[in-house]
Amino acid sequence: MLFDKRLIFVTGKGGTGKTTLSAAIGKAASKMGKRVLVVDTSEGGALGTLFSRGALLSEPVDLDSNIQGVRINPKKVLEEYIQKYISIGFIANRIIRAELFEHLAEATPGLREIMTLGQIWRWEKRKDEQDEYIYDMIVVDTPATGHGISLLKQPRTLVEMLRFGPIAGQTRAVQEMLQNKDKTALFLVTAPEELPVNEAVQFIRVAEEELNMEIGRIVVNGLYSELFSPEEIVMIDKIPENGPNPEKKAYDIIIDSAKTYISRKRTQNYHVDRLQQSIGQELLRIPYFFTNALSELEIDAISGLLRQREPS
Amino acid sequence: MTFLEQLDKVGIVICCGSGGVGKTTISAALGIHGALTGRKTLVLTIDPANRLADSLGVGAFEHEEQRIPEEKFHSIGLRPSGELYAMMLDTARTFDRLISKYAISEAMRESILENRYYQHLSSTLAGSYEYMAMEKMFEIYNEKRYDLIILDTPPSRNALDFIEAPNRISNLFGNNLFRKILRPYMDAGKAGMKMFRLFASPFQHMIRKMFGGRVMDDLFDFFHLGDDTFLDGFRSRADAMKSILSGSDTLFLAAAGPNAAPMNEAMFLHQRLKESDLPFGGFIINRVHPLLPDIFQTPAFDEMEFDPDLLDKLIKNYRNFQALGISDALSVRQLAKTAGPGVKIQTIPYFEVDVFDFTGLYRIYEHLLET
Repeated sequence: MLFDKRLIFVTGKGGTGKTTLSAAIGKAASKMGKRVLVVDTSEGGALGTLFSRGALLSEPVDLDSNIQGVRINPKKVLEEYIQKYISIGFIANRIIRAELFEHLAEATPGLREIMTLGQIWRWEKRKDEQDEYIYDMIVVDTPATGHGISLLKQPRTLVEMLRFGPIAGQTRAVQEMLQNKDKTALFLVTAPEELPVNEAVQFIRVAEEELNMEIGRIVVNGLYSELFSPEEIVMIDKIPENGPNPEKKAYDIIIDSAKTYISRKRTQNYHVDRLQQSIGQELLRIPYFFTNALSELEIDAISGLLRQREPS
Repeated sequence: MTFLEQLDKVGIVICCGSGGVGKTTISAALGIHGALTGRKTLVLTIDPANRLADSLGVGAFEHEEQRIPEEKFHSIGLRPSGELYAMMLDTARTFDRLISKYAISEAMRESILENRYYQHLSSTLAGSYEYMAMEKMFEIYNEKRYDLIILDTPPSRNALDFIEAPNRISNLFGNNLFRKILRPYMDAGKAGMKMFRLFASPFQHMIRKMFGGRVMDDLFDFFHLGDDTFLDGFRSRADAMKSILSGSDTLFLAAAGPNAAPMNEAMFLHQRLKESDLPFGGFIINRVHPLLPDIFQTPAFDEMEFDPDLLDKLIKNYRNFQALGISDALSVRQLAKTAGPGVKIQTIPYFEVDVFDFTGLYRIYEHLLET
């Protein structure tokens, strides 16, 4: 069950709607009474705007009842980590210290990713005075780069290089958290188009073979609904196309729109079928919204769909 | 100057933007322009979309440069005076090849390739497509075999990673502070290490505490193996890349779609290019829905002979696309406002079928011709 997990990494090709789905999963879980943290790993602030506010901050803030949001700044996490776990009080000069962090991060590719995951790991473990978890679920909107594979793969390569020391220790713990299938799942978002579907199929293979992580749910985002009946489609198909013509009548315009709709719907169906055939689980289908700026209303609608599909 | 005329004056065009906006297709269409203006043009991509390769008539993109058969142009009645080539980047081995290039001896090359720090570095950086793309483009540019190179930038966490890539590598290999910090450690040599630890600098102390002593040794080996000639090779290469990127032979373009996220990314990119004083050619906004006329003002609306139920659906559908057209137009208008006067914006309409054939690429090219 997706909503039994404590940690969900939302992955997918850029432009498929990862951020939208991250927000919707967060909302759905909070409606089930869970305390949720949604995590933005990007440098923009898109996740915040879906909750009708600006870019998220580096400390969790309330977004809605039971939902907090945060944006991870790997540089800041690294600084805090070093201050907290490794005493370097002897470097008094803040500017030199900042420069050292910068060089350290530059010289160790992958350190930013590890710091991001390490921070998520600490939030996951965080408990209050009654020894209860502060968060029941953490939803991570992963970076668009290669489905966030580079983020999720990093622990392994870093451990290979380090083997010992505090960072290697933390990295091992992070690795365990990622591969704990009772606790952690991937949530794959794709779109009903050529490239997103191809990449989703590739990602499923990588998740199983290389990341050893579970894919909890696969969603196709932006699907046109079944507006016209099969008979109506046959009828509209029969109406001849009319080319570009500035004097179009109302009739031509609405038929053009209907033809557009039907043709896109066919392309979408083709790609969705292709995806469905190559995966083992049932796809969750999210409808298309006719706007290019989603708001909380659409997020609520999607979160409703996510909850419906979860047996109570 | 029209949008495409800008391309005629440069040797490198870098097409940036977030994933999913059709950058590869746009890059291929720009390539058609190169060939039609008499230039030997190369489109460099990492895109694995084989259907696009099919449409260009090259089977599958390979890691070697491939000529797009002239028959493709002939099939749509064109006689290009230039040539079009395409190539897919091979990201895996680029880094090792570089080591071989700059290593001054076989022994040095092998020791570096076996060094654990190097292995980590190269495996992580090999995933860093932006650096590899940069590297390859620079190599080809220096060979001067093409009049125009169009780079379809890889999807990155942030389109700017690409611009920063040479800087990052330069810092890594050539940064004075970093080398100064390691230098005493290196001079002490392995024999003197125990003694040396007593005097370790705060930076080394920090590395040792965080990563453990082994890493320090690996780092030492790596920087020791790579002597100054080797490191300087990397550094001067990065500096040269930087100066070409900011020179007058390069043009950056920002591709986006009308949706909020890629739009914001493109505006952010533009802002950063401006700040860094890099040459910007304008925005290409792909998949824009047309503004539909208001049917209730056109005659004969009442004369339609549809069953009322179907008519309702047809009108609902029309209204959806009308709303989308307005939404997209507003989004483009907002971009124009934010970018300021004089910044070129070229829109390409939403095509009903995925663009995966040469005719489709040519249609995109035709839209780019409009100003």
